[in-house]
Amino acid sequence: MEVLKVNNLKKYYGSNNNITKALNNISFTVNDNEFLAIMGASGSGKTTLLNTISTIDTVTSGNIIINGIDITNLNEEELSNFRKENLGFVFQDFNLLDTLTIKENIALSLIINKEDKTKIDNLVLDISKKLGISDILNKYPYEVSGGQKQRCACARALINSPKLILADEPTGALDSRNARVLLETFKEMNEELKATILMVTHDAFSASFASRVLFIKDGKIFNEIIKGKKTRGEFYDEIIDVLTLLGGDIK
Amino acid sequence: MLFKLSMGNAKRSVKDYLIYIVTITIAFSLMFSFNLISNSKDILDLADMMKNFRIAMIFVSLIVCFVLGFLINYMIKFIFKRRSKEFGLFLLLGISKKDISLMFILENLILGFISLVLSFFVGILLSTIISSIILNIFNAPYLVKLPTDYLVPILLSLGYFLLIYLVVLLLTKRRIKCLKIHDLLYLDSHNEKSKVTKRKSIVTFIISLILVIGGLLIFNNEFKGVGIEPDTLLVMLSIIMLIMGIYLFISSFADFLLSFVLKHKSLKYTKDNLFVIRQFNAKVKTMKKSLGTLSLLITLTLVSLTFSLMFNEIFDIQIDMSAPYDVTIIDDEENFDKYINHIKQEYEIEEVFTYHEYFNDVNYVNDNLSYDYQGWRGKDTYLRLSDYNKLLELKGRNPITLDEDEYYIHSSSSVYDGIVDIEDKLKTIKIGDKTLKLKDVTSLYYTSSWSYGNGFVIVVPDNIVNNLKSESDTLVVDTKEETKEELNNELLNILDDDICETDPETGATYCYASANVFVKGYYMAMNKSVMTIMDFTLFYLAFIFTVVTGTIIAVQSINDAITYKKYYDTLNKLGLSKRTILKTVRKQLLVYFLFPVILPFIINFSISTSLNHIFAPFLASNVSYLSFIFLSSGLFLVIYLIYYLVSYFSFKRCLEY
Ligand SMILES: Nc1ncnc2c1ncn2[C@@H]1O[C@H](COP(=O)(O)OP(=O)(O)OP(=O)(O)O)[C@@H](O)[C@H]1O
Ligand SMILES: [Mg+2]
Repeated sequence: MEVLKVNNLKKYYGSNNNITKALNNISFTVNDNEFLAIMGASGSGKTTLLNTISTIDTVTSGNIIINGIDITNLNEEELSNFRKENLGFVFQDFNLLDTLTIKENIALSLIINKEDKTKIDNLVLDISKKLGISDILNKYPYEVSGGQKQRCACARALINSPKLILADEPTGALDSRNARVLLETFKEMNEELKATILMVTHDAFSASFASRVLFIKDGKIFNEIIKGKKTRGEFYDEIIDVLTLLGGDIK
Repeated sequence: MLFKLSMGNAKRSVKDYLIYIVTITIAFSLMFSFNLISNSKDILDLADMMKNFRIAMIFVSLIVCFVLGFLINYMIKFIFKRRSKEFGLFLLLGISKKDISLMFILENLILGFISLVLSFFVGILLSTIISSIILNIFNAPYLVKLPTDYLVPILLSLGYFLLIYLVVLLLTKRRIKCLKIHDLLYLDSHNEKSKVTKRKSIVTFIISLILVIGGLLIFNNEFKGVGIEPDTLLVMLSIIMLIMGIYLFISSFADFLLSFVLKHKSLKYTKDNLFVIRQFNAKVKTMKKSLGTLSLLITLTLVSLTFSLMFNEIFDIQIDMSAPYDVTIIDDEENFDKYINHIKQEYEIEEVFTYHEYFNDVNYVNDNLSYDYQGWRGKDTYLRLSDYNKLLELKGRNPITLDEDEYYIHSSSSVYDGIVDIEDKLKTIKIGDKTLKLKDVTSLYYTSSWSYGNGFVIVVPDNIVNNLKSESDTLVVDTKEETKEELNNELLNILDDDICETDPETGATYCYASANVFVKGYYMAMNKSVMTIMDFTLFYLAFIFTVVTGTIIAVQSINDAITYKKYYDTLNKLGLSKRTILKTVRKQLLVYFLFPVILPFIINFSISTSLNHIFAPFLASNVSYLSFIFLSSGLFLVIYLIYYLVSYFSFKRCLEY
């Protein structure tokens, strides 16, 4: 079953004489329980694509259908509810609030939307155990490590069991060890919690944790490879091959 | 939870924007203390005129509300901008805009409310200090006493507080409603990008100079001297030109300066000039409108301070003009003992002097004087030279001399022009069979108690008055102690009814009651009230304007420290010593702080010079206004300097040097 379907998506910036075609007719689908990575050179349109899907940005034309709902047709209030029920976000910088404990950060949206207290507690405990952060729940963000913060951000993204988790360069601010832990967390989220993940990255190592990689160039889809039964190492080599083909400044 | 979040954020804001919280607390405290004082019976009973204090304070409080509203609105916008990412995240998490604005509003209300509550305590303290100053001005005994009537002042303060926050929060709510997530998440990446070309900025700069100079010239032209009625429309025009000029100057000066420095290599590569100017230019571009408003506020501050200082001196001189002697009474000579006996009961008398006013059959001055300058008496008043010299001596002035065939006119400055106009007709006058030549006309140090019902006196040699009729007699008493306000009424009660005159033709009776007694203490009390009310209101306003300006510039610069910390760290790693960096920081802050002040100083100087054309006749000297300009600028700069220092030390702390 498809969770996300993107149809002839176009996003132009600027006006009249000075148009940037950030997304130029992109179509693809993401199935339930898939872990999709999107790669491309700097300026190829990755963030723009993620922003349109996450309803942060509007589209110029085309459709984005998530869980059967075309989000390009929703008004602001409907979008707000839609995000709450269907989407989870993990950013490059963790975006945790300093004034709240880790626990409160994870449960923020539930608390503000006045969910039942014991239910919230159970959900937080449940998710933080799975992500290995249950012992730091009462600390404040400035008291924990970068990796822990990012896992906290993951927990926040997962807490309302969203249909789709969107991540823009989630390992960007982490060192390689913490990055690896996070990517493994993503993999677990995908395999054990059955989460559907869409991750933007420019890093082949990160992409090799995904089950499918989509390459974009100049706002268009350039190539697509699927992991299938390959090991992570083999998949990594294959990604590197495509990147060489793609040319450009990707490591 | 919403409340907890708001609370946490409010706490954080207190830490990050301490200077802002302190400023509004001080502002609210002043507001409350003036509410307390203007409602205090002790103060209102000081003099009759003091009743106006309350009305003046309500009026001023409304202006203060407006300015504080500007500050608070500015700060809320500022805090919001700095936290835009956080609010973007809230939106992403599916939290509704309504909840977000509720939370933000709540947190600002908490901050405001803390300031308000604190201000009640600080305000009481301030009010006792200010009361003691006022009581001291009136020479009234002062006991350290806490205010007693709190209800009205508290309600007033609360009312002003709600007024400010209601408006500001409504604005905030509307602002949040219009925001898009994308804008919030990427707000800090696109600063106000103004695509002003170099050419255009130079043109704007020149236009701004033309507006300012033109405005000042028109203003100057309208206030040429005493008696020339300024054209309201032209004055308005000049003020509008000045306001527009200030805004345009602020928005174009930074570009002008930058292109100037870029053009001159010697400036460009000297030390850190380029860096400082570039930073300054970027900064000014993002806050043109606010800086323009601040510049306007500073202008108002300086002008009103200078103005109030000028008025103080005018009032002092006014007392000298209307009641230079402790007691002056115009009545029949036979009654004088009654007055003297009464005065003796309370005061020690140093000197008593009586003289007569004389009248001629022909009124040379009054009959020719144009209607605008005429007093109600309609008859020319003559004084004997020796009496006149004695009056001058009592005032501490030098006597004059007259030849046998000369006479002399001393008029008030308001009648002076009228007399000069008819000088031709006054070249010679006839008294009895004697002809006298006019020696001179002067208006310096005139005293209105000399002549009752006229704006001038004619001084003639002593023996001439034998040909004149004497009508009223004047008693001048010099007491050792300062006279009190009440003495005026006490003496009035002794006055006989015979100051009433019955017109033989119509049979109507005219009484000129109070004008026949001039007690210095009474005039001083009256003038003190006006002065106190004016000084305190103007200084209060000036203070608020100054702290608001200081706060906004300080907050902006401290924010720079946070934003550019990495940048300074890099400079340090590149080999610049911390000392050199701090020197650059000082220079940078100096430019920020001085920039909005330059124009106001020039405008204040020019406007005060223009006003001096009108006030100079009432001031001690033609140039005494310069000292007022100096004093007002100094007062402003002292407070401003505090904000500069606070900014510098916060900056230093942020950089962890
Ligand atoms: N707000 C904007 N206004 C105008 N052009 C934009 C805007 N945002 C992005 N672009 C342009 O759209 C194109 C795609 O940008 P995007 O941010 O999606 O790239 P990216 O693939 O995420 O790059 P990176 O790997 O560097 O993050 C770029 O050419 C960029 O300059
Ligand atoms: Mg990007």
